Amino acid sequence: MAQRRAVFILGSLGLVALAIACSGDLVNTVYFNDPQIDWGQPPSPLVIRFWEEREPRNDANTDPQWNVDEQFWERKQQVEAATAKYWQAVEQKRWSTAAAISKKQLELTADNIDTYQLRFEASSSASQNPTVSWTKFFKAMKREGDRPGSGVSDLQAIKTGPARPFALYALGNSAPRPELAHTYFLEASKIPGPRALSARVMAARSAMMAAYPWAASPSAKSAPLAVTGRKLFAAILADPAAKRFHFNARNWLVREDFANGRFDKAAVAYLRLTDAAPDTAQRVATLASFRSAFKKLRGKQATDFADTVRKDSQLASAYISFRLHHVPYDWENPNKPNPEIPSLLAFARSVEAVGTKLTPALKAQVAELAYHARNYSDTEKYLSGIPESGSGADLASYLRASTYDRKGEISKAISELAEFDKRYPTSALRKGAAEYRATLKIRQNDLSGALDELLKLNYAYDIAYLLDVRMSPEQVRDYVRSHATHPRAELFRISLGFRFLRQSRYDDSIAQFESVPTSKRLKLVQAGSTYADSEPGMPHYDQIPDPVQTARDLKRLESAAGSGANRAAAMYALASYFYTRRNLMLYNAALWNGGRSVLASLNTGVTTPKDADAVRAHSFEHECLYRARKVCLKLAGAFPENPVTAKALYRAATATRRLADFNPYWRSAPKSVVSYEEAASLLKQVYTKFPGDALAANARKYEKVYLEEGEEAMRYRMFSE
Amino acid sequence: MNEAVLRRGHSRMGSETFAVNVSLALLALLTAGCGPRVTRNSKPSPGVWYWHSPFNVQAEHVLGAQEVGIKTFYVRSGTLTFDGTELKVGLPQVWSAAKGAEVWLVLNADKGALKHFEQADSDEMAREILGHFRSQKVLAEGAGATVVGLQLDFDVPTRLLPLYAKLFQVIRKNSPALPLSCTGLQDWVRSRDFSQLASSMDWVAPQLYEGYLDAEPFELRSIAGGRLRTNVWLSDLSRAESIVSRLREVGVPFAIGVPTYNQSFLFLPSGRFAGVNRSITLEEAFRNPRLRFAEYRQDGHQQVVSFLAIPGKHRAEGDGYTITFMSTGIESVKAFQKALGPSVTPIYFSWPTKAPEVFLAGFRRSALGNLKTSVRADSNPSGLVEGTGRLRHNLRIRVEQQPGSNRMLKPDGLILRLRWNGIQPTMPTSPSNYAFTRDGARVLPANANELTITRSGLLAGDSWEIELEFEGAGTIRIEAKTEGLDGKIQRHSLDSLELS
Repeated sequence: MAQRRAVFILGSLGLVALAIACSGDLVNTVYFNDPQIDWGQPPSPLVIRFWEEREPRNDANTDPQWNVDEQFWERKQQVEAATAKYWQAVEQKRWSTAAAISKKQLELTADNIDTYQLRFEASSSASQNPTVSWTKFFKAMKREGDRPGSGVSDLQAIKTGPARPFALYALGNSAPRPELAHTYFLEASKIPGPRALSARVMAARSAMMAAYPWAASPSAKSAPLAVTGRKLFAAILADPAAKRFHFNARNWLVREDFANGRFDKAAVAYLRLTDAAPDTAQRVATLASFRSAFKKLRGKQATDFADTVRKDSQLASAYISFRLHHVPYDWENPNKPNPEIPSLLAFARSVEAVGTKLTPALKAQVAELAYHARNYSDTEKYLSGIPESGSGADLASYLRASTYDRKGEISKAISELAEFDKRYPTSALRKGAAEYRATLKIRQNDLSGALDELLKLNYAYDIAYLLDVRMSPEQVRDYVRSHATHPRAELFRISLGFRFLRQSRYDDSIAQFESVPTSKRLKLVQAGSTYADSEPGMPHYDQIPDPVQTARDLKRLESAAGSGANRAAAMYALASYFYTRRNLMLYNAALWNGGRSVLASLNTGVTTPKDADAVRAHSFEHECLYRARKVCLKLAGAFPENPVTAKALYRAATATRRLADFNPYWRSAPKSVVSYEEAASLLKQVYTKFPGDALAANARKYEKVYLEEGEEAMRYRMFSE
Repeated sequence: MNEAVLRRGHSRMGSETFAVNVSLALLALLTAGCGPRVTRNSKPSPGVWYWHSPFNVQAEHVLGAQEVGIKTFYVRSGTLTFDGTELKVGLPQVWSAAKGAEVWLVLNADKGALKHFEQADSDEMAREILGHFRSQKVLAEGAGATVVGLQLDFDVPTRLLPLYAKLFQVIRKNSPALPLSCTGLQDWVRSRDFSQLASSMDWVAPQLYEGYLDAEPFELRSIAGGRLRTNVWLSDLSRAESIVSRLREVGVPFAIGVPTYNQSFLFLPSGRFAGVNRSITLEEAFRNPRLRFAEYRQDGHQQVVSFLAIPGKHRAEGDGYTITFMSTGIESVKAFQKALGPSVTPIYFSWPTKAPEVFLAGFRRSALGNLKTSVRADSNPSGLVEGTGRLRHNLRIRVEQQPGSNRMLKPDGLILRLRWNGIQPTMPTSPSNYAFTRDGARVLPANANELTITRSGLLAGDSWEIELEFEGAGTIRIEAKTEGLDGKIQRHSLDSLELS
């Protein structure tokens, strides 16, 4: 049972450990962000996970498509529910209603927009020109959607009328081969109407797909269709009305070079397009295409590619960005110097050498390379002259701060980054800059300033760590005073209350707790809830109490234990209070929310010995079992002959035994403080000093049990990974 | 129950004892009238002990059991325990589903109960036991079982066998129609009191295992270099034969408890026994990079697999320890039947599945019957573009274990050999199981044209990935082969790749 209990009490601490195990390293934190050591290194601008690229240290303003917003699933449900209504409206020939529904779907989602657009255009056209063929068309469409291929013959039967281009387009979508699809799309593109442009684009794409099919890489298959595809895309590029398809058209046209083995030309064209990509998804796709072409460069093509890139600052910038951020070097050890840097720096210098003017953006990138190479004088050299605004200015500012930091000028680094958000409101480096500011302030011992930054970042573990562990109660008190009107001021006061409570400053503690209205306080501290599993019929060791009541009780019990005739009994009562209320009595759930186990994984790249001291002090203060043990041992020292000492020693032993396997912190505690052996030795004291006591027999029995458990625990941990 | 249970019933006759006897008589009436009338069945029936709770055996499980010769489930229905003042039955079985199952209710006793057994009153104990039997019988039959009898599983000291026999006599007296049996320790059989015990019930079931797991063999330096120096048995066949011979001499009906289970032990670097290993399973041991497969041996009806702990990355705890897994699976059943004769009724310690599905399931799957290798090269021409002239290749070799033969693999029996020309490895260092060679001699990676990588096991469904860096242009050939315990070498797939 004891072992099981030990597992349960980790409930409050275990959730985050589990989260870390399941999802890898924590990134939205500075104190517990294990892989990040050098915060002066600017984070990568783009995350491309399906490439298995190395992740930057945060992704807040890099790739929003990965951040699922809170309403996402709600909207998805709405869109899915609307589809049934759409088909109902279609069946009842309420074409305008159907058009309105699909329009709404287009507003709600970015998924399947081609389908919704087609439905919208078809039902709008039907509402303007209702004919019999629409019913046929929609029925075939629905069948086709339910079972591909089942609606084809009905769609083919629509030979004339306003539904004809839609039927052709749907046939193109269903065609098993791109050649066949091309014929349908091409015919549809020739019929004026809302589908004509989309059909023209699809005709061009299907022609190119047929001309240059892509297996492992594209190959040339049909020259006539290649000519057709090229002509169609050229016409699209010349059509201002088709502007939204221009990037895509340019991308498709590069495939010709690739398929015909002109990898240097293809690589240059893809590289040039990376900057023009209208959104992240298309940028990722273009980078992937570039990478494929780049890998095939050999011999003269490699040198021709290099020559072209060297002579064009935009290309050189795109190339350096690709090589720096999208060619992983050592994922296992991201803090190891990137071995690619010397070669890349040499290439960057060769760009200058051929007379290409370095734009500010390119200069900032070269400065970044120099920073990676730990050549800070070169970093400064390249940064000089880069204007404070414009392309590359944000990177330059970040790197300026980094070089100040490297020179030990932390205040200058902080000033450099102070207005970063205002100066570069759209920069991808904003979040990285805020993290960096926080770490710089931590290193300056400006914990209050760091907390300000971390609150803005909403880094929950860091906020909890600073308020509950790292800052002294006095620092927290000052923070409470200086942030009296902060939206989270009540949380700060509650947190201060817990700090005072753990330090036995009960009146101060009660004052802080009671400054928050009772109902709000109980809600914030999650009074009554339990983070641990609890068996029916077992005492609730792990239920969160109202801390005000705890403070009052402890004040009374400590007062009695301090003096008086029955001091030994009063001390034992105090120890028992700690022992029986146990794990969550001093736990600040408002801050940790079940995540305190992160304390076991502090990033040693950020912390100093002061952090280790703070964690140690926090652990001793926080763990009621330890507090119970301490009081019991004090009692035993003060009243060695008192009969209650037998009980105290026994209780100290059981508390010690539980702590021995309590959590990673206590498992690694010095064996003289907490261990199975220490627990057993306390039991030995019970039966040797008090042989006639009722507890002596059990003490003798469990001494052996504890030692066996200790050996078992050692064996159990021995080969665990 | 009160203090009376702690007094020997013979010591005095008083109102308390009388009250107990009256209650036993009433209980006997209740027991006899509870559900279908129990008829004495003096013959043991082949079966399996079922210790789990809840008891959840569906009709198809019963049929499946019959197919492997199991007619009866010997189900732990409760545990006799000492609660500080009296002996009580606790941890009652929960009867979830038992339709069609023929069941003996088995009551075991924990250490506390055994410690107080000598002081306990047999009448009180019998009353408690029969009360428990009655209530469990109702529940079991409610779930669809047919309750056949009561078996006690009390590992009492041999000197207390007369007292144990007396307990059976009291139970028999109060419930004459109830078939009774008990499990038995091997030492009991040679005791002169064993006949008395055996005659107090219908049949006995000595457990022919764990009798040899005394300290004796483990006190020796049993392990050296991860290999067992002496034979260590989970069960000893020759000893079993002598026990059965003795049972036949006594003339008592009996079944035998057959070992069908696994055990794992930990040995110190000195070779001394350190205790039972509960930290990792056999499959985990195969996967654990700190454990190196050291030995497999088949000792008659028993298999043994050992792993030697090698220094780990982060801590030295456990370096040099040996973990030994031992199993007696279906081979054990066959061996026992062969040695003891087919007429002996077995009761299995646990479900007697076929050998590959018992202990050695993981190990047999690790035999390298069907390897599949694939190789992927990722070229990086940045050196050609940036002026260093280096064309680099990142090679990822993946070896997958497919379901295949059950051949055992010897240590380091998975061998991957790479030969190349025109290209050059660029790894500055390599793990210890990598051997870079040229013309058979070990050389630095940069001078090598051959690499041999070895490994000891790969479980079915698992894969092994190796990443290597080369530069230049040329070809590379990859060959995988396995070497079984029988020394036979099997060649697997071959890949050849052009790197240019």
